Amino acid sequence: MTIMDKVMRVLFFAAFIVDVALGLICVFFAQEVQIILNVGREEEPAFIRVLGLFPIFVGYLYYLIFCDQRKYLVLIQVTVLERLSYPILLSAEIFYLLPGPFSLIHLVFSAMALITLFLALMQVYYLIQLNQKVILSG
Amino acid sequence: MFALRVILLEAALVDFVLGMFLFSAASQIQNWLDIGRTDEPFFIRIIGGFLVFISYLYYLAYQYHEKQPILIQATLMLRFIFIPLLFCEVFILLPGPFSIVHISLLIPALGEVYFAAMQIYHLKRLGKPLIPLGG
Repeated sequence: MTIMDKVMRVLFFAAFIVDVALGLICVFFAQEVQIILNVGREEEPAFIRVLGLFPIFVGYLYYLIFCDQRKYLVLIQVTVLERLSYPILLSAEIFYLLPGPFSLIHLVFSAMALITLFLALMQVYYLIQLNQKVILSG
Repeated sequence: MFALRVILLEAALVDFVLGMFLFSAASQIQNWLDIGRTDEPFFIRIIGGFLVFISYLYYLAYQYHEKQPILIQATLMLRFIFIPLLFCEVFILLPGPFSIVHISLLIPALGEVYFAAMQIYHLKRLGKPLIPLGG
């Protein structure tokens, strides 16, 4: 196992923990998330809960990668696209779609976009080092 | 094998269309379902974005169903995560009476059950474990 393998293994584990934690917070504390981020006043914030399921799933993918990153190389390739597309969506939200002024939700999205972009670039670098395709196109 | 590929392609198409619809018509959906009441329904848009990603996973599973069964198994895990929460929302968490919001979650929940059942059937036929737990 090279140093790069070890570094990526730590990153994959961190991604697994962060994604699962984020997902569980959205699923089990949807009301609180709604209040803190000031996004509506729904009696039951179903869409925030549903949104929380996706990071849990992505966290599961990272868990599999963490278990055996060489065996599940295809999952690294799959998650690269997800990681690369989210900073774009989040940037669109921050700079165009979310109404001003700059608030907590802008800050949360900015932090998420930067962390996601960092992980995506690390995955791209890792795949290039392994002489693998960065994005699978079928 | 042909039937499995049809199911995977069907799932890819359904998720892609639904994802793009949620992504691009988020404000209209918010008004139509009368939920959220925010200026920017980003949560609906992000769900749409994730669904497009899931459709990409299904597309790859369709392309690499023999070489990479992990993709089919991973998407099955996604269905297992979704089914309990969607049914909980519809029958327990969402306040009554039964409305368009309930229906808009019940239909995807039934779709999830259909796709999960189909994937389980085909994975069993292939002799693959349903959920890989790593290790």
